[in-house]
Amino acid sequence: MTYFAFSCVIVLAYLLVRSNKRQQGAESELGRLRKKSLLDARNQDKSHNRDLQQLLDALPQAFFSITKEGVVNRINSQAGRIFDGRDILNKNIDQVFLDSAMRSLLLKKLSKLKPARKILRFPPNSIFSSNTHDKDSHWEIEIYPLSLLSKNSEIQLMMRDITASVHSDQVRKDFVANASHELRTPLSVISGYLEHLTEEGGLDQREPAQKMLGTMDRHVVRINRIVDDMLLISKLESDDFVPLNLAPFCIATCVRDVIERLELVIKKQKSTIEMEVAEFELIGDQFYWTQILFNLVENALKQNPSIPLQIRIHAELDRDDNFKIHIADNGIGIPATDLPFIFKRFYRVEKHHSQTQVKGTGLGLSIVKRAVEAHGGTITATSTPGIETIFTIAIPKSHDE
Amino acid sequence: MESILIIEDEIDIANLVGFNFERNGYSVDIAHDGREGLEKILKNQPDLVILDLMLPEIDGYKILKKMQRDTRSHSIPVIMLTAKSQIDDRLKGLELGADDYITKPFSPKELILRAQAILKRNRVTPVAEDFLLGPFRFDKNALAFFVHDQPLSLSLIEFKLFLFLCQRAGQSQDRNNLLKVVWGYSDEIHSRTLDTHMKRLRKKLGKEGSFIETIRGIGYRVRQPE
Repeated sequence: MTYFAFSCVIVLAYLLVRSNKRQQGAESELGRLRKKSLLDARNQDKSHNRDLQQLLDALPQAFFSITKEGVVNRINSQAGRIFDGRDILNKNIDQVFLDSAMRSLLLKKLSKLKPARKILRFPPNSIFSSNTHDKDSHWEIEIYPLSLLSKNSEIQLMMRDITASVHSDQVRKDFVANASHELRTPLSVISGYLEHLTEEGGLDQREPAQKMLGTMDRHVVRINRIVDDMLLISKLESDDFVPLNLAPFCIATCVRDVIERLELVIKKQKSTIEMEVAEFELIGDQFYWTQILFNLVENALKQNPSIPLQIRIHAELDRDDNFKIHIADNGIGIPATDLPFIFKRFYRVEKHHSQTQVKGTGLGLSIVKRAVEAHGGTITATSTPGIETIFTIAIPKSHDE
Repeated sequence: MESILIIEDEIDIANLVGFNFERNGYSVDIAHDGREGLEKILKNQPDLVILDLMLPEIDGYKILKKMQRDTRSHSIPVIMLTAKSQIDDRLKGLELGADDYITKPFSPKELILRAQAILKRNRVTPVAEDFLLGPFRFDKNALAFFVHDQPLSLSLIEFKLFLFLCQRAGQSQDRNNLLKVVWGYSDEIHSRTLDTHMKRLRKKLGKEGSFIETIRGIGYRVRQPE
C-alpha cells in the first residue's frame, strides 16, 4: 500500500514537472513564432510588392498609377516601353502626358474618381511610340479609381495601342464599300434594261431587245468575275498561311493555257504574244500560277484596247534554281505616280478615253501579288509609258517544301 | 426639245440613260470624262445635266463647284447619278448645288420622272414683279437680285430660296415649305442641306445678311424692313 502511494507521488511529481517544462516550451515557441511572423510580414510585404509588379508587367496594357496630386507613382514595363525609356516615375502628369485631350481626361477623372473607358487618337509625332510612325495612332484608355498601394485615393490608368485593329477594321469597311460600289454598276445596267424589256411591248422590236440582252449578259459575266475575285482575294488574305496545292507543274503549259483563253481578245486587238519559256517544271500551285499569268496578260490587253500590243513572256530558271518570269508589253504603261499603288485593291489608273467594253474587277493585280507572295516570291513593276512596261516575278529556290 | 447632257464614264450606263431620255423625247449628248463634260456644259448649256460623281480627269464634285462659279452654268440643274450611297456623299453633292441625286442601281423610269419634275419647275419662271425690299431690289427682266444696287451672284437654289422668302417678307416659312419650293419634295437628306444653303445665302448678302432670320424649330424668315 505504501509502495503504491509512493509510486503515485513519483508519477504525479513527474507529470507536474513535465507539464511545467512543456509550458515553458510553449511560451518560448510563442515568442519564436511572433518574431517569425514579424519577419515574414516584412518579407511578405516585399514579395507581395514583387508579385504585384510581376502581375502588372504581365499586363498587355501600359499601366500607370497616379496619385490624387497627379503624380505617377507606379508604372509597368509596357508603360516604360511606350515612353521609350523616358523617366516618368514620380513626375506630374503635366510633364508626362503632353497631349491636351489626354491630360484633361485624367484631370477630370482625378477630381471625380470615376471609372472611364475611352478611345483617343494621337498624332504621329506624339510621345507614345507606336508601330505606325507616319499615321495617327489609336489608343484605348481605361481609368479605374482604386487604391492599390496606399490609403490615399489614386487612379489606375491603362493604355493599349489598338492602331492595328482600328486599321484592319477600316480596311474591311473599305473593302465592303468598294466591293458594293463595283457591283452597283453592272447591276444598274442589268436592272435598267430589264425594266424596259419587261414593260408592255418591251420585246416587240427584236433587234434592240437582242442588243440589250447582249449588254446585260456582259454585265452578268462581270458580276460573276467580281464575285470570283472577291472570294479569291479573301482566301489569299484570310491568314498568314494560304493553303496551296503544291505539285510539280510545267510553267510553259500555264502560259499556253492563258494564251488560249485570251485568244479571241488577242486576235481582235491584232496583238501578238511572244513566249520564251523553256519546258521546265516548278513546284507550286498550278491554279494560282495560271491565275497570276492570266491576270497580268489580260490586264495588259485591257489597258490597251485600241493598239496592236506586243506582249513578251520570258521565264528562266538559273543554276541555283531561282525562278524568274517577266511579262513585258509596249503599251501606254503606268504613270510613275500610280506605280506604287497598282497592287492595292480597287486601285485604278485613270486614263484618257481608255474605254474598254467592260471594266475589270479592280482586284486582278492584288490577287497576283498575294498569290506570288503565298509562293514565297516577290513581284515588281517598272514602266516607261509608251515604250515598255515590265512585271517581274521572282521566286527564290524553295528550301523547305 | 429639251437637251440632256449625260456625264458618265461607264459606256453601258451612259447608253442606258441616254436611251431612256431619247425615248421620252429629249435630245441627248454624252460625255465620258469630267473634262469633256465641263466643256460641253459651258459650250452647249444643256437644260439638265446627269452627273456621275466618280469620273476620270475631273470628278463630279469639282464639276459642281465649277458650274456654280460660272454664270454660264450656275443655273443649269444637275441630277447626281452615283454608286456612292453613303449619306455624306449625297449631302456633299447637294450642298455643292446639285438639285437631286439617284443611286445606282437605279430605275430609269424614276430618273426620268425626277428629271421631268426638275425641268418643269425650271420652265415656270417665277411669277414675280420687280420689287424693292429694304436694301434689296429684284429685277424680273434680268431675273437677278441687287443689294444696294450691286448685283448678287446667287446659285439657282439660293435664288429660289431668297425670292420665295422676300415675296413673303415678315412671315416665317417652315422648312418643309422651303424644301418643296426648291426641290419639289422634302426628305431628310435635302433637309440637312437647307441650312448650308441658307448660310451661304446669308454670307453672300454680306452685312445685310441679318435680314434672314432663323426661326428656331420652324424655319426661316426675311425680316420686313422698317
